[in-house]
Amino acid sequence: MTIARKTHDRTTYEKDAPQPGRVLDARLHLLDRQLLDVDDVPVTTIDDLEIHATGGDADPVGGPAVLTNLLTGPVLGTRILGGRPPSSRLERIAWSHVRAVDSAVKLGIHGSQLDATWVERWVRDHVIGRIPGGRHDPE
Amino acid sequence: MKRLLGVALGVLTAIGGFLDIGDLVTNAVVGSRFGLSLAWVVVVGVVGICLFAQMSGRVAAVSGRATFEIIRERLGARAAGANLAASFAINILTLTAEVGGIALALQLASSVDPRLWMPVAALAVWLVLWRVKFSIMENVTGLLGLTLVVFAVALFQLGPDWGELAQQATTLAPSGTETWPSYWYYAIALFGAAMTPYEVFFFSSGAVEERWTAKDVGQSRINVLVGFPFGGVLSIAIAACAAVVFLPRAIEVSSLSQIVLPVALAGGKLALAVVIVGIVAATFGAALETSLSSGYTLAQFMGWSWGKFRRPAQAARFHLTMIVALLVGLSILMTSVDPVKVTEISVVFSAIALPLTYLPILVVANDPEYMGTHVNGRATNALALVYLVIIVAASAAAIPLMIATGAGA
Amino acid sequence: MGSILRHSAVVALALGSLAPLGWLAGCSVHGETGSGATTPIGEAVDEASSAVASAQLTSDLLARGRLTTTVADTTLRDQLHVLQGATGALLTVVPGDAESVRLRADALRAVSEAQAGVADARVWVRGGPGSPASVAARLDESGDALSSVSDAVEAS
Repeated sequence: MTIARKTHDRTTYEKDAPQPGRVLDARLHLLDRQLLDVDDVPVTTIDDLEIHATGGDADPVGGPAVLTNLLTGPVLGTRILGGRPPSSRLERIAWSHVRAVDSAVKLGIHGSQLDATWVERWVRDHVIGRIPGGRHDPE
Repeated sequence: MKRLLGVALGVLTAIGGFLDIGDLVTNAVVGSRFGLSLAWVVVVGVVGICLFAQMSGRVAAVSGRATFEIIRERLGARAAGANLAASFAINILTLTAEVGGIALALQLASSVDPRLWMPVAALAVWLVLWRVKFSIMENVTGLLGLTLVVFAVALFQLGPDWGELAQQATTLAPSGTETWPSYWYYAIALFGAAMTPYEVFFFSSGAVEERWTAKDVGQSRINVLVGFPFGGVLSIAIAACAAVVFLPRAIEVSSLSQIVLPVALAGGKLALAVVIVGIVAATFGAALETSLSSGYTLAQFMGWSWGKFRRPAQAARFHLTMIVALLVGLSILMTSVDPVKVTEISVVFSAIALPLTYLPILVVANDPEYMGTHVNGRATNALALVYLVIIVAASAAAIPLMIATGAGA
Repeated sequence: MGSILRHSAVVALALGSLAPLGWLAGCSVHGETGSGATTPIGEAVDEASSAVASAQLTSDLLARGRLTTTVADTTLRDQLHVLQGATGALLTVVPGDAESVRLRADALRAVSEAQAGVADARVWVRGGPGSPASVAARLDESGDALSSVSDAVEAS
């Protein structure tokens, strides 16, 4: 699936020939959306997208590109005040794991298999899990 | 028959869950100083909260998503972040007031100093959040809170001059030694007490907790449109009791202990016991709701796993947020600040934060992508716009009036 | 959101924010009554009167068996706090003229007598010496003293 191109500069590109599948708008359908795992448990919000050129190049300017990863990370400060964190501080979730896109983006795997859920797992293991009753269903 | 019971339960819990420490204190203070001349504010506030609670419940039932997630997605991180910051801060303040209210009410039952009850109250609130199912929690506190109807009963037993009360209610002006700035300051406080911001987030997240679908929108409408107005009637009853007992004696209400005196006057020790149970239940329920709201708003904004329907291990950061919120509230209370003063400040700041918390809901309720065909009708939107004017006016006037009247002195 | 709704919302926001400012501007023209140091004295005396009246109501209810000792004790303790606050307010006032000095002295005397009366009422509530009649009489006296100070403040 290729994404519809949205660029900041005003250079116009030729439109792709119509292809089978859905056209998604990155800003509208992907960014800031909730990411759910296969059990519908929330994983994180989608903070950014990683796009590579189809040749495998990291910089896709001026050529066909493909969405490789969803990114999430410590973006609260940067979203409000400006700028973005360096790419090494962002967690990657492979686009290939995505199973469905509607009002939330749904993955086909469990959240625990992702690096991106490490904070939740840490809090669970070191704080909540240590309090009696934390691992039981509420009654 | 079972359906009828279900509907009745929903309505009764809505009535019982409507009042919190903000309503109790603000209505009693207003009744003792202004009589019923501010009763119209309760009416305006109840209509407003019915409108917005209905909208947010509908949004959650139809879209299956809780309000804050949608706010973040539609309005972006900055707007949602501002909304979150304001809501979270007010929630903590309100939570502090509620836990303080539990402690004050327990003092009335036991003579034990409230500062000793505060950690107990906070722990009890946390235990319920930790282990008790959402629906049980709601139903128990809601039904027990219904005992506050004793204020309405007490009002009748006091045998007031109804004509005079009616005259107070229709005289939309300050009486006696009160001034216009105080009148409007307390109008805003009463408005903030009735249109508590946390209610809206709690309502919509609760809809997701209880797995409402579009079919449940009807039930929620009944709960809200029957339950909340009855709750408003109880608020006015509290103000009327204060008006009948305190206004002629020139008593100004400044403590919870005074608030129960009219009930004791009317019904003796039995009524007193009932009202204390009711106050404990109402403040406990509200403490649960504000803690949950803190958890909901932060978790939904950040995209964390949330919900009481999940075991705590599966919603770790959500539960951690609530624990931290309770601890912050408890530490504020342990500085010996007067919980009644905290309550009075929290209702005014609730009014100040209303535009930030309600405008996004209006935006989302009109969004066809989430709501499909269930977007707001034209009448709802018209009413909501009227309320937007009122909310923004109240919010803008609050701080100047607070300064001009010395916070209502 | 439709553009009509968006525009209406903006108008609503604008109206909402301007309305109270305009009203407040008009309000400041009228101003408040009261002058010099007498308003704070008057307010403190009113607070004290309210506390005494609450204490009277509480003692009366307890004597009639309509209140529990716990609630009565708590109420009286809360009113003692109010009286302390009133005393503190009176002490921090700086009277401008001889008459205000006299008024403040009278007020302080009346408030401290009220404090003693409420404190003794609390002793009776907790089972100590005293009787409903003596408590009521003492509180009535305090109430009268406070209201005559209040009248004097208003007259000044």
